[in-house]
Amino acid sequence: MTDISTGAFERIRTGLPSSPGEARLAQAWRGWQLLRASPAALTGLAIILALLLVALFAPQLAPETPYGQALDRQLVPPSWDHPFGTDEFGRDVLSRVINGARYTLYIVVLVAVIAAPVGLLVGASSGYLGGWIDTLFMRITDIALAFPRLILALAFVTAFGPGLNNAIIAIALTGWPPYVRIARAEALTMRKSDYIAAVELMGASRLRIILVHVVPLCLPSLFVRMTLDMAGVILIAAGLGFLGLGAQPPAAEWGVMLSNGKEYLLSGWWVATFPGLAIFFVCMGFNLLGDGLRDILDPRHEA
Amino acid sequence: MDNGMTQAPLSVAGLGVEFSDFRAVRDVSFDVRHGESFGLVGESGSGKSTILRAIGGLAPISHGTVRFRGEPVRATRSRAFRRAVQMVFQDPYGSLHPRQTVERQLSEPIRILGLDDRMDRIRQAIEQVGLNASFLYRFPHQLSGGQRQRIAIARALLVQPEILLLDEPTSALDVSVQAEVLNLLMDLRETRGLTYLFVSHDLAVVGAMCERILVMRNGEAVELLTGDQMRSGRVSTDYARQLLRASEGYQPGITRREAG
Amino acid sequence: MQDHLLDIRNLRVTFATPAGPNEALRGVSFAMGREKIGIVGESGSGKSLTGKSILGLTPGRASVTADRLMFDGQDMLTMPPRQLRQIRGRRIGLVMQDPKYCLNPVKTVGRQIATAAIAGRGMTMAAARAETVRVLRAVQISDPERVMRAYPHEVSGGMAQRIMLAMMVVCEPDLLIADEPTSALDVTVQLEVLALLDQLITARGMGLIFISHDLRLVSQFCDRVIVMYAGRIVESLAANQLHNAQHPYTRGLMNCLPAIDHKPGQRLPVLKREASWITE
Repeated sequence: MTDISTGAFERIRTGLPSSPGEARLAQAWRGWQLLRASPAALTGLAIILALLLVALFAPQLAPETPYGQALDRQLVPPSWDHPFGTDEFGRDVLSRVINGARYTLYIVVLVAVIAAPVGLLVGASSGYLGGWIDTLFMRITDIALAFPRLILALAFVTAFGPGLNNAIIAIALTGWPPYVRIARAEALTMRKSDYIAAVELMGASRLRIILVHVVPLCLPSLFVRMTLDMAGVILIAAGLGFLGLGAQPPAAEWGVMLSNGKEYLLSGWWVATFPGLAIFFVCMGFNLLGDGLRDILDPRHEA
Repeated sequence: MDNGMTQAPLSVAGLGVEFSDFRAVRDVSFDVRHGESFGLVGESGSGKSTILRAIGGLAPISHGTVRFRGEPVRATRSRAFRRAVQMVFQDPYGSLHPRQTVERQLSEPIRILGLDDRMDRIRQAIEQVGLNASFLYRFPHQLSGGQRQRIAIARALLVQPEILLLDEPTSALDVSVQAEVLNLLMDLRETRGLTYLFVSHDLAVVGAMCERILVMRNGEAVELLTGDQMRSGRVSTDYARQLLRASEGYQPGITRREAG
Repeated sequence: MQDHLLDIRNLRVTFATPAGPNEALRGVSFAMGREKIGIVGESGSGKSLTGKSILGLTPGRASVTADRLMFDGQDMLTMPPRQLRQIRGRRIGLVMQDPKYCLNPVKTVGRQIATAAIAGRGMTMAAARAETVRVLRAVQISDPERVMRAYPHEVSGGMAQRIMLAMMVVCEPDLLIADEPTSALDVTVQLEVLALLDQLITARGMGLIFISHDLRLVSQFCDRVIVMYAGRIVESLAANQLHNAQHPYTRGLMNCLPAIDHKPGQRLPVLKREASWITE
């Protein structure tokens, strides 16, 4: 009985599993094999994992509290004591950048959790059901798509009042239309397929077909698009923070920090530069990972 | 009960199928007798597959009626119909969900119809089509064309249907695999007393599988033949004769004269 | 021996996969003159790949090697790429299974054939137009003027395959590789296209490699049949000697096809694959 685990590992590795759990693991293993072959995607994955870890352990990692003002050490340039320097209130920039990861992750996760499922369900139903439902949903989506995203987010935030949560809601509300488009395009290709016809013939309800059969097939391309979108989400969130419409000072949000730092660009370049670099690297991480996932998940790349 | 045995389990009368501005099937009528294998044969565009889809509820019935055990079917098929009538599609690469394991796909009809003993039924079905339980947790892309088609047949058999609608079940397969799948279908029909409605473009395949054959062209029925008539070439329409001759393959002298 | 149109020795194609190299063609050798040769096999036998590697159409991750690859006395292995392209475009033609994928959907049929004539034979535009009409007539299209103005989606499958034949014929190749040229067509149309292909080949004295899964059709249409299994040639014989086939695979392929007078319900003979076929 000792070789059960090695046997299972062998079955997973060779793609011949013997239980549902092993089948899922085998799929994951295959994905990992593909991901491993792409240095760019691995780099992206490493950056996103770093963001996750930094956000998770921010209090342990940060040398100081992000809000501790010390007016006797304003705008100290980077040094061993303060690797990223200090800002106009003498706060440690490194600690603030590390804590900013939490805001970024919070924004990204909340936007994804709100916008993607809405887009997925609307798009999948629209594509599968067709007819007037499709027409109605798609016209609404077209209207939403017609507005420039940042402007619409600005309008929302102005209406609801500035603040991080309102900014997230605004970004999510403007973020779903592309997901509808993608999910619908995928659902359309499946609508006439024989495997959907087969379950229709068994008398499966429309809801069941959409949830159990259509949605899972929309997920890969949606996931890719979501990853690629996250860079944009971070930029918009930072932009709203920068304009004073997102997170509010003294929050250690990267956009807010950038906005504060712009006053001292000449006398203290480090105040704006390090949050800016953080935004840059995280966006790049999402883009690299998104590109890599597209290569893996897009069946058209499998030859 | 007696009525159920003598009455045609499936009958089609004056069936017409229209898609927006295209009439795919025009005024087609036939009965499928209990336990027989009825063939629909024709070239592409003849409407043979559309008839199957209309019976199954996958294409609209614009004219005429489809009767199941004597009762006209309704737009939403009854539960009894769903259990009794199952379909096997032409392309085994397209008829299985690409991201579900075999076990997941075979569970689906059981779940939809709310039956019990899920794993027992699945094991039984997969063994009936000549595969074994080791295939259960594979994905379709890990199977060969013949294996996929066997899974598709297993899926159709799970709910213990009486009638199988077979839409060119072997035309996407290699000839040696075709022979295996046709043999399997013959075995299943004998052991389970199934009734087949078998669509194919291949006269030889239909001839091997069916007792009665309806020749179709451009959405219309051309000629109803018995298997014996077809095999001995006793056909009355030009089109059926033409199809028969074509099925014999390429004969340089004859064909060239006709083409030229 | 030296006036073979095509002479292939030990052709090997290997694909690099994450699981290691996968040898798809394992030493294919044959020679042919201006005759009709059929290559038959099931999916994965390497029959299409053989045709593609002669034309240099193998995907980038495939490595192709051969001891000899001679076309009409010229060594294609050592030839400069420019010359190779000229041979592959002009002297070896290709007709594929689905004509709809091979025709450019946004150009008219006439334009595509004319372009082939200009590129292949250096004709002027006017001469190419006249030639287009001529070849469309040659493939028995009765109103070439109308067909020339049509877009590929406006013609039927059989018509599209004739157009493909016309496009091939206009270049007047010495060797034609036809990969399942009629499998996507209805049986009755299939025979017309085959008859046409037969005429063109005979009239112009071309060589033909006819790649198909249909052993019976190939034996009726070709002079010689090559049977492939798992990347190798298992048997090569004259078409009219097929009933004397020695290899169990060839015999199995013939037997498992139902004949038109097959009794209903009678089980078909199935092919029992032997592991030894792969190596012997």
